[in-house]
Amino acid sequence: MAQSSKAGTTPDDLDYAELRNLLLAPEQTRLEQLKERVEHIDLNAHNLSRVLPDAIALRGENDQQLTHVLTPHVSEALGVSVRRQPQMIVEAIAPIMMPAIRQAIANALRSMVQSLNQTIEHSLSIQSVRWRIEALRTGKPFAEIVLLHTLRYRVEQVFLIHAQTGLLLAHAAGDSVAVQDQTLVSGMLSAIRSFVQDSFGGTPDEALNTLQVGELTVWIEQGPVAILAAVIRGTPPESLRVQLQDTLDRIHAERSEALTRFTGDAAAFSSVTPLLEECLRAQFESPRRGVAPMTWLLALAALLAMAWWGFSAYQERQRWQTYLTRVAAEPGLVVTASETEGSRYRLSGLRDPLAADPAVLLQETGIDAGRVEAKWQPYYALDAAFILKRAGFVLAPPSTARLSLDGKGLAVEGTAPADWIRQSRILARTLPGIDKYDDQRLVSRSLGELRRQLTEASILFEPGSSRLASPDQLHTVRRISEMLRQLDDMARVAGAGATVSIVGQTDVLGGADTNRRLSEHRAQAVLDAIQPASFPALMFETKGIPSSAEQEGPTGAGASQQHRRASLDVAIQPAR
Amino acid sequence: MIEKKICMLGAFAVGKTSLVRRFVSSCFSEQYQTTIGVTVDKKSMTVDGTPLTMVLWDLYGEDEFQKLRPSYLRGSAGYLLVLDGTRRATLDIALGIQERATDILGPVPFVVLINKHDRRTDWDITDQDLTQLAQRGWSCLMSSAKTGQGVEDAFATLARAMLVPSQAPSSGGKTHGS
Repeated sequence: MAQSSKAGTTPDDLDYAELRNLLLAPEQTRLEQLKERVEHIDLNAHNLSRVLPDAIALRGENDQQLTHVLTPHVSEALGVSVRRQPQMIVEAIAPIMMPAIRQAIANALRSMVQSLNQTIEHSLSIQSVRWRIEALRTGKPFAEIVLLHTLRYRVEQVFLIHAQTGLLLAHAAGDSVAVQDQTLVSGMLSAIRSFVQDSFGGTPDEALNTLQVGELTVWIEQGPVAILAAVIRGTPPESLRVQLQDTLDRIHAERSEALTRFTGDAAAFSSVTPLLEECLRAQFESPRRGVAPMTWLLALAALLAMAWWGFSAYQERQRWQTYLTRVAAEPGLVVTASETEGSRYRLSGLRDPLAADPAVLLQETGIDAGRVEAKWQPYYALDAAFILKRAGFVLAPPSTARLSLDGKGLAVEGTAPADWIRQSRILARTLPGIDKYDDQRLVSRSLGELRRQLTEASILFEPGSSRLASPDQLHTVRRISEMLRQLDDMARVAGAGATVSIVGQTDVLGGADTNRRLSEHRAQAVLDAIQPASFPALMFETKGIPSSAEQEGPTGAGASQQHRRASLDVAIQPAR
Repeated sequence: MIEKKICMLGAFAVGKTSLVRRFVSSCFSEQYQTTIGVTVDKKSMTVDGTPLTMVLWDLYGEDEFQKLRPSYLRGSAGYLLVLDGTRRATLDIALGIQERATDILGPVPFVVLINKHDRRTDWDITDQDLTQLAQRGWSCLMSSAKTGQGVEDAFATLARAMLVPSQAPSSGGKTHGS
């Protein structure tokens, strides 16, 4: 219109345009908008996004086509999503699943405890023995006898039946319940109800609601469209009837449309089965909230057994520790490793051959030797007791010698043969743990002993004779020779020298000169007899000591044989 | 699985129970046992690809002492009206029953069975009677519980009629057999 004005049109045209503007301006604007929209009606994302939610909702109201089309794609997308991010689905369903899982576990545990309780109670009590006898007598299974005696009531089956047709809508049965054909049962139940109502009932409210068959009771609850029939063993409480009625009311409330439209397809009622299962209740006589006494008894027995086992294990462990302590304290035994493997023990260590036998120690502690595996490696213990013991074992001293230990020095005292002394000096050096060997006192004592023995010996002669011819004389000479041989040997061991003086003597009879010569001859005779050259370490000298009348006592015994003799005197020259 | 309640109706001793036994258990007994009250049985079958369970209410036979009880009939999706071909009186009783059934159930499908076809020579019911029944638009079949003739057909015909509600009542009105 502005363009028309500028073009210089006539006043009529202007008036007309103005009139048109006054009359049609809103519609014209609206037309322009519609024209614009129609010309650009292409389905771009922006336009589609504005109508998509409404379109989906609208399409979904009419039929299931949208669901059918989308289902495979949604399922596939869900599958891909779960595979890519499994954690996401875990987090999403965990809050839903966990309570259900917890409840399922709790139920299972409760059921298990109850079952255990009953099993223990019914298998060990006097009552159960009676029931077992009854089961044997009647030929019924024991479980059935227990059930008969303990069951107060149990809802075995629940039927949801369409009232008008008698057709079964839903059914639930307890475990181990013998179930007949449910369709026929529901049909016959309806027929019986009809028969009873026709025959005896006046109004629909007075329908059959209880059937009693032996121990079975059938309770029938009537609803507007459906009836609920519960098959109960035992004597049910009235509260159960309330629960049945509540369940029926709830089914009517939740499934009213399906009930009204029912034409024979019971699939629509599969979802009410859990409601029926909730009615499958049971109650037993003298229900025990706590644990049965027999269970306590068994638990106590188990506890005692465990305590006994624990105490035994503790005692066993203590015995083992005692054994280890004893072994550790025993000289010559060293434990390097010990371990326990169940009821078996392993031990390894070092053992001196002279140490106490570990097997004997083990026997003393009371541990079964069959459970101990011990490996002992031999070694030399350097304890003082062992050094001394080992020295005694190796050196084997004669009974006249005694070993002693001073620090690491081994000393020997008493008397011993020269051979032993010589041999011990060599052996003592090889003994482990011994640094010094001292046999000085042994040697000097042995020398002194030999000297004493020699000085006590004497050879007796016939009167006026210096001959050595009698067997006694020769025997004494051999004995003296033997002692001299030992002295010679011992002197060499000691590194000492010895001078042996052979002293000849006479009695008082005869002249002084004669006796002096006789005494010297007697000493010489002995020296000759003993062959002094055989004793290189000894020096010999002879001298005569004749007895005189002055030396005689008042008894006149000076003429006795004791004075006609030769004796020895020994002088030791210490080692230089 | 769709379930339908079917009633067996007719005068006493026309063979309702025998027909049910033949249909359900494929057996027959010459010994007559009267039905007291009702016996419920069932048979599953597939009709034109649709699985169906027929819950059969075999009602006692009607006579001058016992009339049909409406409570048994209620909820029935269809019924078999059984006649004894050798007793013409059963036709009249059947006509009465059909009227009452229609009052109670409304226009539900039913099939008329003229039973005991194995004794055709002894029949009292004439072809004229059959023609009259056919003229009513009823579906009539000849059957013999003893030989099994027409039994499966009768139940299948009724099943088809029940599964197609739009074709009710009386499903066709054609007389089968001669």
